[in-house]
Amino acid sequence: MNTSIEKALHKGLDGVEVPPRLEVQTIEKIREKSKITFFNFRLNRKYVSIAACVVVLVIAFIGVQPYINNNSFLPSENGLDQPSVQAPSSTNLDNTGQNSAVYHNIDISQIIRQPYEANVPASYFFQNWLQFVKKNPGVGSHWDNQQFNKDSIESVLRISIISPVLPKGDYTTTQSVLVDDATGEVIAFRTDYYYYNKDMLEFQNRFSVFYFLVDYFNAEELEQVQNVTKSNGQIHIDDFYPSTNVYAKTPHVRKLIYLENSVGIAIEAEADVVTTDGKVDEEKSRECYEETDKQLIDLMKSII
Amino acid sequence: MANNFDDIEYLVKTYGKEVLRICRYYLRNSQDAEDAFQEVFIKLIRKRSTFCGKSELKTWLTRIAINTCKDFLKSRSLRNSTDESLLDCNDCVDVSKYNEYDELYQIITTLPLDYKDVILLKYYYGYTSKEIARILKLTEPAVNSRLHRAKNYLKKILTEKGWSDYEYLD
Repeated sequence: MNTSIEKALHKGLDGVEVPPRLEVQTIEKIREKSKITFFNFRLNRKYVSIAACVVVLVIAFIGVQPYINNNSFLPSENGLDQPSVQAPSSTNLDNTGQNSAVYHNIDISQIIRQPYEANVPASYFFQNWLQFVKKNPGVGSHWDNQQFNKDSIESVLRISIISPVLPKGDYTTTQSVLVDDATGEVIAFRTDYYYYNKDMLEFQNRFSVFYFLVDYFNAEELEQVQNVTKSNGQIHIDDFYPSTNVYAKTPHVRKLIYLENSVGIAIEAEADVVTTDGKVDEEKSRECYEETDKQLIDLMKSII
Repeated sequence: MANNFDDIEYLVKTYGKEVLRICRYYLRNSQDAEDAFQEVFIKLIRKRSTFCGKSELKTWLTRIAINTCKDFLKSRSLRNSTDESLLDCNDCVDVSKYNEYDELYQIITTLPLDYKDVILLKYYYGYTSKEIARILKLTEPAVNSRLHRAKNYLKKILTEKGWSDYEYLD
């Protein structure tokens, strides 16, 4: 029995009463907010014709914008390398989810996680695979938590960056760079997009996007794992077969690796298993993995 | 009717006390607790369409209240404030009636958040591990493990404070 903890809590909390003033204030505040919503609705109706014109113009702009500025990158408010919500660069892409990602600046420690982690492992490619295929395995490298933006990546990798289109949802991001211990140079950029339930702060998925310099790695090995290719405007995606028997499981969610000239792009996801009454639901988990796999493919398509 | 979200007055009067207790427990400050209290009910009304009825409204509300308080704690830390500096007179106990339970309560409220969650839900509300797991989105073994660690942590603190025995815990 833990009667003392109980007693202590009851002693500390039982006396808490809601002051009538607070009740009244809360009720009024909620009603006031309801009125504001209603008022806005009426206001919108009054100017409905103007609003309709604005919507038409915005739709027209969104439709034309990818053609006039194909590789543009809309910086976020805080200047981070967060994806914009612009349309994808290629017209043959699946546009599902565009304009639907919402970004928040919350600490990832606030996001509630299941105890099962990395059932579809995250960071497999960068934390395991690339260690095997370094040109000079004797030289170490380390990740630094460091924020960057489009210009930072472009100046190092000398390519134009296209912002990714993520599935609909609420996101927060973290960023880091891979630093070569020998030279101190940045050799890769990594952005993790945490998709979470905004109301309950529950973790849903994590998408990780890496840009890296191919020169630091064994090109032949990289080519073996490349499973995304592009020819004549068409994108082809194959399964991911690591040539070394590493321990990471890659059951249903692929790692997507694309190489172009001297730059590589790798995309990974972390998807938790689905549990029902505390037990892993294999069927639902598999569905979740397959859905994540599709989302990863769309994500890759949106940036190459 | 328990799920009548349109009756704001009913909701505030019925669930207000429990919500304010959670807010006070986590925030340890009257002003923040009252702000969080209002925020909880505003969220409740805003998000009523997402309430699927699988769990009890009280359970759902408890989870919203806990998450809201954690948001407040985060914003408080962003303001570089400390718990101690935010304690106001309303939170101070009457010294003449102060006893070991008051002290234990004060110590419990300083526990890490993960431990505070399970301690409150288990020992104040009397939820089962299964129910706590549902509220906190954990598994039952994880809840039990966290409870065990919470008690050990508490014992360690009490030892450091010179409490010679653990009759208050076991």
